[in-house]
Amino acid sequence: MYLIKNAWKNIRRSLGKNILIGIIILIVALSSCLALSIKQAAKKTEEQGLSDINVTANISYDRKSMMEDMQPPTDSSDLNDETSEEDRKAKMKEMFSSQSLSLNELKSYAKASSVKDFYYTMQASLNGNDSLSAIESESDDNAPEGMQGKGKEMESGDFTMIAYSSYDAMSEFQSGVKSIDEGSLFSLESENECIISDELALYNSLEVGDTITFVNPDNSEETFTLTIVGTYTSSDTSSAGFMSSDPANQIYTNYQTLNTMVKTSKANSANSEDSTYISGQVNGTYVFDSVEDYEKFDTQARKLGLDDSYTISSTDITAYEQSLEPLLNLSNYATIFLWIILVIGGIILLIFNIFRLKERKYEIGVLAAIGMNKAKIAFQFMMEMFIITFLSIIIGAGIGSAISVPITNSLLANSTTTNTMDSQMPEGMSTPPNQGNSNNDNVTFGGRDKPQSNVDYISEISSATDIVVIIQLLGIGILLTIISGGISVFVILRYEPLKILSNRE
Amino acid sequence: MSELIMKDVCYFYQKNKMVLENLSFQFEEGKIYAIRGKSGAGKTTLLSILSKLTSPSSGDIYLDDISLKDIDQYHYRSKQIGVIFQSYNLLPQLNAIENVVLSMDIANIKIKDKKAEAISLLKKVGLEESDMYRKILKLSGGQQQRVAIARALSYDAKFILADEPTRICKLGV
Repeated sequence: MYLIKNAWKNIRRSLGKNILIGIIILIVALSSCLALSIKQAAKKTEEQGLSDINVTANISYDRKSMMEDMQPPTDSSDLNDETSEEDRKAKMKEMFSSQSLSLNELKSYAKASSVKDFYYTMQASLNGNDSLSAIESESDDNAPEGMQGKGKEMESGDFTMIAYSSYDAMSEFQSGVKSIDEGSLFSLESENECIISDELALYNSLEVGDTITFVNPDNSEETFTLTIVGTYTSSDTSSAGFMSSDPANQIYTNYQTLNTMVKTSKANSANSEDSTYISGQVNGTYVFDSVEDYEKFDTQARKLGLDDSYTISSTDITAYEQSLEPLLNLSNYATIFLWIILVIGGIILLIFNIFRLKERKYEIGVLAAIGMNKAKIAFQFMMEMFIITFLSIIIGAGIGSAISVPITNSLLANSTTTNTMDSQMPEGMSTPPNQGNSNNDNVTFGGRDKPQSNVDYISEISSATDIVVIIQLLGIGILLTIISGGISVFVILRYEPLKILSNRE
Repeated sequence: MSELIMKDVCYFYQKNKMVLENLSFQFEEGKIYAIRGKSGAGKTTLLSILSKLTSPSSGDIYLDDISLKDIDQYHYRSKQIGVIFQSYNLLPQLNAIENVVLSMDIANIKIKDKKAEAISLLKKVGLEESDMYRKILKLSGGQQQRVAIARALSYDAKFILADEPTRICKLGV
């Protein structure tokens, strides 16, 4: 006990020097508190967010394999061959159909115990008749040749019709991004009902109750007429981007309606030599209670027969992870910063301690000469260091906790701006934020994939410094004390009291 | 009755420079011994050996038949013997009382009011109460030596080794 008391007295005796050491430790503590708070905020936000989100997943075919299969022949003579090009188009269409899982297959995987709910959508590309014109967005006009619409080579239509098996599948309506403007949502049971965007309605002077006619892009004689039961408005004002048609051209209906259209189209083209039927891409959405259940699903689906060429991905998790990117980037920088601060702080304290020990060599000699053992002397020196460190850390943590949230939010705002600018640059001009994400290699038919520029980055945190950060700070304090005080132990153990006292005399 | 026995103690700094040669002596607790010698004769060295601040080159010292080699030097200096150094070796940043109390703390003396005991000891060695609260460097050589004596007396040491204790102070104690 007297060692602690003496340590405290010694600190008070050399107040000026100890305040200087305290200030250095305070700077280290404050910087460490900020870095640790950022890291903790990122970790907490990630964990909390993942437990809060409604996890859904889709099964998709591996794009790489598909692209390899669809590669045109390398022989230039074949490339110019019109027949060969036609064959390739047909092959591509065939491939899309064959590689899409059937609804029955999708339903069979929904039997996995980890799946809480299952719903599905179908998506098809259609044209309008003469009285139904698609809205041409600026991006469509500016897009490079061959990139307009959804793959001109495949004769994609101007409209994208998306059909839902359940209202739960209409995530944009559930989340409020889109809402019914006039009329109502289509019924899930009735056929030939649809809703269109208010922009499209205005563009074509259409009203609720009117009928609209869609045309098979590959067979202009094949038409389908639907009744508009409602118009929707979207709060998402982002542009479509190079690769997608204007979002206002999306038509929503129930699964039954589009499925009938696809079946009818297939039946009509049964006798035709070309594949001119409307291709409906079915996509199943599996709903899970938790991220853990989602992770289990992969194994369970494989056991139920899902081929290795298909991958399971969650757009919710991917989108959430993307939204965390600025915070995680900041967290990574904070880690580097923390290490730099610790190394520099540790070195400065080490040097300070060496000088302090040289100054107090005589004191060490006297204490040893009157019978205080070296371990106790070293402990007292370490205790002095620890008291200074502890007080500095308390002050540092106090200041750090007060300023960590505004500083983190300010840094986060900068990081978010950088990420947003990066993601809005055309591909090739910036590093894609999700580089290396395997999800990029997959084709997702339907689902809720959003373009990168639409990611809602987490730009604000509400709390940063918590008890974990305080404990970590104390850990850092103890570590710094051990590192810088360790030299005291080493030097003190080497000192011979008689030598010190003789030299003094 | 404790005994401090030297047996054939030799000490040399260099091989050819023998300082102490085959010293054998027996010190008994409660008696006063004086060691005389010219300057450089090795009196301080002998005291350093007896206080286990250094070890003899050969021979051995026994405290109650236990070789000093087998006794922890810190325990020995903090409890068994008291040393009054020639240059006092007091802690300059402490005052007289604090120096004495520190010695009691190191010896793990179980006294409730160590400060009062220190004051009493310092009074016994003739230090004025007003000087007791002054930092060591503000005391004269004689006053410092009194503090060093009080420190050596502050715990129940069996032997007190004093290196030139009458050099400065006019002891009336």
